[in-house]
Amino acid sequence: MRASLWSRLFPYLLLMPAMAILLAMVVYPLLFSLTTSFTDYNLIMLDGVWVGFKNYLTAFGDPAFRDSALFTFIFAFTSTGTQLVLGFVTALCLARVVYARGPLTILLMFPMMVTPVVVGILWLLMFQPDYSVVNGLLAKLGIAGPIWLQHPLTARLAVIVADVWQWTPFFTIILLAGILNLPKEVMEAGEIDGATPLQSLARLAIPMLMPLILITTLIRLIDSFKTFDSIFVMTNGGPSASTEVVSLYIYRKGLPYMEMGYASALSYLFVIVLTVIAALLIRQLSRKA
Amino acid sequence: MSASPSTRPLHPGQRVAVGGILVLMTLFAGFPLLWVLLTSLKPNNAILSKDPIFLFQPTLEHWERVLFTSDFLKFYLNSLIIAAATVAIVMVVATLAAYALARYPMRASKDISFFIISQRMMPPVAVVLPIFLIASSIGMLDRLETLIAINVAFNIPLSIWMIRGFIEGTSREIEEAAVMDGASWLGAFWRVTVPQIWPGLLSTALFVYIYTVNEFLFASILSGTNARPVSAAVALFLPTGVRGTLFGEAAVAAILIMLPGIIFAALMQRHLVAGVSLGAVKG
Repeated sequence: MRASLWSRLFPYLLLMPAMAILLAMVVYPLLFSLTTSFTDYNLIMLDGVWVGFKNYLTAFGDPAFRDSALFTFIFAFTSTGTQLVLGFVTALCLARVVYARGPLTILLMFPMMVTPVVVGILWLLMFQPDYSVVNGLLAKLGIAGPIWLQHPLTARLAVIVADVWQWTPFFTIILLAGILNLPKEVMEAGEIDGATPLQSLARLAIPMLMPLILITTLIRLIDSFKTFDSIFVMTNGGPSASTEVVSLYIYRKGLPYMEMGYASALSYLFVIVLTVIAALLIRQLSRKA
Repeated sequence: MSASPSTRPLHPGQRVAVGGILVLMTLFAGFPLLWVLLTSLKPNNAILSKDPIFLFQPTLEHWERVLFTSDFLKFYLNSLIIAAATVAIVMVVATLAAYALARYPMRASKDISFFIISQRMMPPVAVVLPIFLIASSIGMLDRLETLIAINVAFNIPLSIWMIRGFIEGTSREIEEAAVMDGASWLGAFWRVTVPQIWPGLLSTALFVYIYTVNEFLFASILSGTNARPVSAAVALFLPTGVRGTLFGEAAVAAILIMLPGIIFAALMQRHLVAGVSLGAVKG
């Protein structure tokens, strides 16, 4: 009897340290900020007065928040979409390389291993406000490049390019593994039946790779909604808030301005939206896979 | 597409297309890295030249300044301490939890797994504000312990997930046989299963190390001059900082920060691919 009680408790005992750490470092702070989000806690009112849903209502009418949410969507979908296309094409090409595939793959993986802050620095150097390499190279082609990080549209493009640079390898290596694991017999049977390369790609390879493609895209999509470091370094949200993603907006409201009550409400909305998107995508995914 | 995952040999034209795409992608991946290396060796007038300069008289002045006259090495040491402690704690705690989830059918198992993976979706910015308030009220700002605790918490979910996958890939029967022979469950796990999943554990540890060294948001908000890790220290060299444009120094700092991760990645490529794909499949 005693042994069975012990063996039933044993797994929970093993889980306890992990659970305790997550409760203390994630769940408790979240509950703390839930209460903060119902107060007007700020630099002047350090105790904070209960204001009910006021912060949440303010958020819905806050044009700056709406703009940052919109840009976050544009950023996440554009950069993830581009990464998927580039990564898939690269993986298809790599799969056909016979000689030195290993070293080439390592080389292509490098950007993924670069610290996100450093990604910001790298691309800040590339798009340097006055003396940009990118423009120098464009000039050689006879194109006069814009001052990238000082115009809203080109600055947005620049932060997307940086994200695409870093995360395309993620798609490349996962899809490469998937392509190399495709059942040979099926692909060969397709060829014997006279399928062109394009047909066997569209009708055989892509359907078989679909679960992997969807999961990889989902992971990147959720992560890119949370992007902060590289944009913080490259543009700090500027010019005129054109590259201010939600994370950056919340951060700015919370720390430099110390509007903790409002920032907490914003971060709750952010968490809720992210969870809903993830849940919807996961449901869609498990239906297809 | 000229390159389908088929086994048919390529036409010459297709071969050129495949080669061309790979050359372009390699240039795209490699050029910014090459550029930062060049920038770190350039004298200032070459850095600020209107034309991109590839040939110049190299100088080590930026390297000297970062390594010898700034506090960069101290910040580097901070990062190493934080990362080493985080990896050690995460590996122990996550392996225990992963073992429980992989080997014991629990009624709450599904909920626990969901709870663990939901932590992965949490935007760090949602937690950083309350943690800042809590840490400042109990006097834990600018302490290495605080940053270690946070990195541990943020790395536990993915680590449990990865290690659990590795454990489930091994057979339970051999462990049970060892228990029959008188070993304890954890003893059997340690002596029978751990040696089998060793490469997986290594790649998990590598991931935790990289994520910890890379972590920027908490590092810059919760640390001051004392416990500042390198990821946050880089900001000191940025043109937006008070010290003006120090691109050469920023380039040196960038290289020093990303070097260990890139070297590890190159050495452990195979394990890393396994880890990333597993994270994707299970994620």
